[in-house]
Amino acid sequence: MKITDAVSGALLIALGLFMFWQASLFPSFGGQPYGAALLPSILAGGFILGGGLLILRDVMARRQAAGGPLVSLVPELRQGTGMAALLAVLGNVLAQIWLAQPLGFIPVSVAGLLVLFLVLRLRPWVAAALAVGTSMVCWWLFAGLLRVPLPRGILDGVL
Amino acid sequence: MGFGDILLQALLLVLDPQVLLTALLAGMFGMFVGAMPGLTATMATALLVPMTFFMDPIPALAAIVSASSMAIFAGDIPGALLRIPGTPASAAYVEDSHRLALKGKLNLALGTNLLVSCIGGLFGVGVLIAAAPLLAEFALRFTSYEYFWLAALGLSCAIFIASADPLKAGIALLIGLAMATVGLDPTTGVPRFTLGHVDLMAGVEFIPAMIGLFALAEVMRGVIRLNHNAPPPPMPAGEGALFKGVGGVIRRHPKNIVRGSLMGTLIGALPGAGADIAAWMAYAVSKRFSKTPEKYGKGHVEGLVDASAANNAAVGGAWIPALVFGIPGDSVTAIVIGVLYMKGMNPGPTVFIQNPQLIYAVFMIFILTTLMMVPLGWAAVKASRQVLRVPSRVLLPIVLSFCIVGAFAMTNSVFGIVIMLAIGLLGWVLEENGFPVAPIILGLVLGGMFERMFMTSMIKSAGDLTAFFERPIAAVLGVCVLLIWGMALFGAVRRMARGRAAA
Repeated sequence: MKITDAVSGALLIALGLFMFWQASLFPSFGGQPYGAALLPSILAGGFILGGGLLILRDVMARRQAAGGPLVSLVPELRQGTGMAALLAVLGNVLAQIWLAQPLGFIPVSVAGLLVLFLVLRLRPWVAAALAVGTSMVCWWLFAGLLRVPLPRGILDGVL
Repeated sequence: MGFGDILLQALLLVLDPQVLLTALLAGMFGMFVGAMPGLTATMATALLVPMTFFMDPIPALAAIVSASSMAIFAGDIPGALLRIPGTPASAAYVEDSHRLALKGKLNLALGTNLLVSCIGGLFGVGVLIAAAPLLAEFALRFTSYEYFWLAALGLSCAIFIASADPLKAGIALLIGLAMATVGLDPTTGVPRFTLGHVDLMAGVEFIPAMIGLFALAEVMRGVIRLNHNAPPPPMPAGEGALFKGVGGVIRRHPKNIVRGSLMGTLIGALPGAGADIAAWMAYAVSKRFSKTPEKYGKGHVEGLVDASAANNAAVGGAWIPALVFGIPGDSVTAIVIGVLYMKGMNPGPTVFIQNPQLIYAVFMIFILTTLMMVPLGWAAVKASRQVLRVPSRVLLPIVLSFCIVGAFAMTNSVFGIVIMLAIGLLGWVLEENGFPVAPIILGLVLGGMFERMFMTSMIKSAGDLTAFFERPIAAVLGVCVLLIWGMALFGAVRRMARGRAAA
């Protein structure tokens, strides 16, 4: 995702204003002039200033040479497997967030990695072997050796 | 407790077989990650931390020290073989080492890299051992004013010295500082920016954020850029013994080694600037003072000596401010500080008094792993041809899996994965648009301390800003910070004026 500096600047100013508004709601304590709101307010000021400078710089640069579109895709995303691979990576992470509790870490990991390996054009049997192998090593290392409570899900009775 | 007792205790801590085995395994892991193009030393550390979380402090630190120094050397291997630096720290001299390899001097290039890295590493550790305890004694007298200015100095260095675009680096730093304000306020206990989530009360969990920024974002960038049609690049052959002729190179360039090591240590010790900047600057200085600057970039060994010494010296140098002040010298030590806090070993001068054996154990581990780099590096060079054939499309999904379980392990819940994903996406978008991500992590790590010291100082002085300059050391540090900002602003204004005049 390519975002022009002017747009990033506007987003930063919005973030700064949001932080100011939030900070103004923090309770203050009697007799203590400096409280929870002080640093966030200073940072908010920094965001507004920095965003403003980014916009200014972008506008000045555009006056000398015509700029591109305000928001555009990274060129690699439109070529080959770029977009599919990115979505598969994000899909893997989101699946672990949403599906791992009911289904368990291993099934979600194997299925997710299989899709990702296939998107990256590995041969099916290599992809399957790697997906199962990686998931088992992760399980063995973290759930086995380090006792991390990775969700067991449907394999609860088996593991 | 006498000094001898401290050393003996430290030695006993280090010579534990578990510590040695951990250092060896972590070193091999560091070698592998550093040698794979696209996987950095910081990523090696970030992926290692979830595992060290479950260890005692000494093996945990041994693992990090070992992995990070090996990774910095290992980055040289694909640089020479494929002209692709394995880590950013090897980028400065990749042209020279690859051309040496093409001339049939692959082993000379890598052997020089390895031995000079070891010497530079030992130099950095030597300075760390000599300087840290002295500085710690000095730092015992520091009050919140001095710490405030030190933190401010570190943050300013990250903006103005370590980046090409100070405005964007500054914004990245603000983002890190803003993330650090999430959670319960340290002075009043008010929840801030938690959006009603209980999980965010304790703040943005640091290690998942780190995994997101330095590993997940890198995986995303990697899978997008995979080019399926490119043939595997040819690797030049290397014959004979690895260290043949290296002794001669070292004897001919002792000045370069000392200069590179010294620069590396100093730049490493500067907050925010790490091994990559050290290598670039040492290379540039070497070229500037060389009798044959025209040979640089064409397969000349001289710049390689300076820069290889510098990037490994920076690893030790970065620990100086981290151990003494709790201010990270680079992104690896930023992780180290997070780990030290998790282990209850709050970095700062008091550790040197309360637990000196731990500090000396860290020093010994440093020496040990730096020496271990030579045999491990030799093995890594020998194995590199096979290892470098592992394609990225196999490697990146495996790294992704370790990111996910690592982030989960830090919170024992999916919340860690959520943080990793959010910050990974943010880091990816920012980096695509020219914002450096290292200042974010510096802001996140230093933010808590910066705010505590700032608030303590403000409350003590009742808002009187002149109190920030009343103590001598605070005044000196404060003037330094103001000078850096003043010079940067002056430069920016002058550039703008010149741009106007040209237009």
